[in-house]
Amino acid sequence: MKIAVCVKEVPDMESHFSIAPDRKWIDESGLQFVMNDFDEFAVEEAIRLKEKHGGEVIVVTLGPERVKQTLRKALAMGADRGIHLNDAAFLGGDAYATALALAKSLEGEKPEIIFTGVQTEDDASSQVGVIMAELLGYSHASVVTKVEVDPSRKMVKVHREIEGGDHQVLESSLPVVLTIQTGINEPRYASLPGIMQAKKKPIKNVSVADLGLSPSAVGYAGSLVQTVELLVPKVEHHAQMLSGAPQEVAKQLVIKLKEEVKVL
Amino acid sequence: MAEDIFFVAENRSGVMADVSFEIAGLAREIGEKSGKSYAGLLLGGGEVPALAEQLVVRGVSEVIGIQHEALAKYSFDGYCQALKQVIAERKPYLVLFASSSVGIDAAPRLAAMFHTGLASNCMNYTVEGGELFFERPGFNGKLRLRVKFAGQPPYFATIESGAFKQLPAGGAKGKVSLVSANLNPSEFRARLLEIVTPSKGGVDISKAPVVVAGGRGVGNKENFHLIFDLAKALGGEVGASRPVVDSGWVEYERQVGQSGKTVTPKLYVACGISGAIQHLVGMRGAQTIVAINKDPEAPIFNVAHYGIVGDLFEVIPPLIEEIKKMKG
Repeated sequence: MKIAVCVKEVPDMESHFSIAPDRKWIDESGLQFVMNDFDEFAVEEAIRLKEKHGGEVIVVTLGPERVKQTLRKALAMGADRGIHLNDAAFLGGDAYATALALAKSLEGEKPEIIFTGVQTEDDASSQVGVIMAELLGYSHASVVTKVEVDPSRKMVKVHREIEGGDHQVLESSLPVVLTIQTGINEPRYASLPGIMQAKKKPIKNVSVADLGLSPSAVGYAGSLVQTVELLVPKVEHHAQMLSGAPQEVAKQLVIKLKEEVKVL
Repeated sequence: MAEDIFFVAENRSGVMADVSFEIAGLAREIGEKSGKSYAGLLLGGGEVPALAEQLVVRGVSEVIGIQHEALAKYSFDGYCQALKQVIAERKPYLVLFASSSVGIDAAPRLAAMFHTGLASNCMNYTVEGGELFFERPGFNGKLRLRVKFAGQPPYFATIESGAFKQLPAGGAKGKVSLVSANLNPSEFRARLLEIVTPSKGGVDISKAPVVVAGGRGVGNKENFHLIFDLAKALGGEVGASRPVVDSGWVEYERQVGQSGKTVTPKLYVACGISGAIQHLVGMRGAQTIVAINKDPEAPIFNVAHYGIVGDLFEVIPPLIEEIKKMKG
């Protein structure tokens, strides 16, 4: 079974973010970059399927040169080869422009299952996987928390999260795009031999021209939703801040809880 | 006519979801600001007329019911094909979905069918010089992205629950029209088999008068005893954010937020929880919210009534002591 996983490298979400001078994205200087949390679960799920049913796992990403470290991480976890959409024209794209580039890069590969995370932690549009499914003519299921493949019937049975903590159980034909929810599995740590092997696994660089796309179809130029600016959310509700040494703060809060909240 | 703003209504087990009235209110408001009319779209089987009634008696001026046996259960094929037909015919300017399990699954596919943009998880909007802008969260809720559409309508958006006021009740009763869809269910690629409720561990935090919730900031499973100790001192239950449940530090039933429980206790104490929107929708109805977080910029402080910027490991132990002293 051929499986593809689309991953994204994002800034560490514990960082302090400042807005870049053009206000369209964050100032990336000095930030640490890591694999998008959701995508780690997607990579793990893909590797588990390969271990169970055989086949290969291709990991695909889009971004500047630095994102190779995220491809290497997926390869170290157990993916077999990487595709890096590595062209400045790809950058700054919305969900549609990104999905178009990713879908084009997998068109010739014809994977039976494509995994993505439910969303990225930075842009958080939660659309790329589903748009890819439409562009490739694949079935899809989003917010997936369980995957069982029946290769003989070319079917997959999945659970997806819905409101109130319930799950839909659905069956889909292959090929399919599944967007993976966090918590579906426990992503493995790359082993030392895994990290060594990953250095030798192939990564193919792909440009806009290689995909037969026009630069105006991808990146910011190909976006259907354009980011005008980033904003720091307005404080909608001013909390009364309690400050001082921990002992002091604890005393203040207990008085509030007794006299104002009346829970004590 | 690119004059319509559609909203796609959702029900939960036959009762119109609150978010349907929120996106109805938003559709009407954007319509008023941009000189457009609005209407609700409702998909389903035989139950459609009764559900449409729930919308029009609340003042929704027009509801288009799309009725087909194959729409009685959700499927992306059924929903996307049926909506594509109505949208292709009516050519709306904008189609609003809830940021829900339906919105996240159907809206991106439908927008891609029209090669038009979808703004996701929107929480605010403006109309400036006739142009529509949405604001949506990014960077784990730490920043907002202000976006606009490029290209031609129909434009699409998914809207966060609780971000907009419900359509006010009252007003003239609206009209319902029923249309059918041309669907071939045997060609559907995905099929809903059943809906299951994952195993219950007997914990129900939704009725607790006090909920003390821990987030990623608690650090690990062993540290969580501190959260249990504080909950015990306050006579409450323990809640948790999504990453905590994903990591297996506490049971799934304790998760508060969009994919977990919605709680409205008298007191909610958020410890080491940054306050992603998915968490906030599950707890912002609490009467009093106390937030303890070492990051002064954490969005949780935007909804908290009392805030403490500090290390929860230093703050909680004396807090437990003080509560015990106060209780005698």
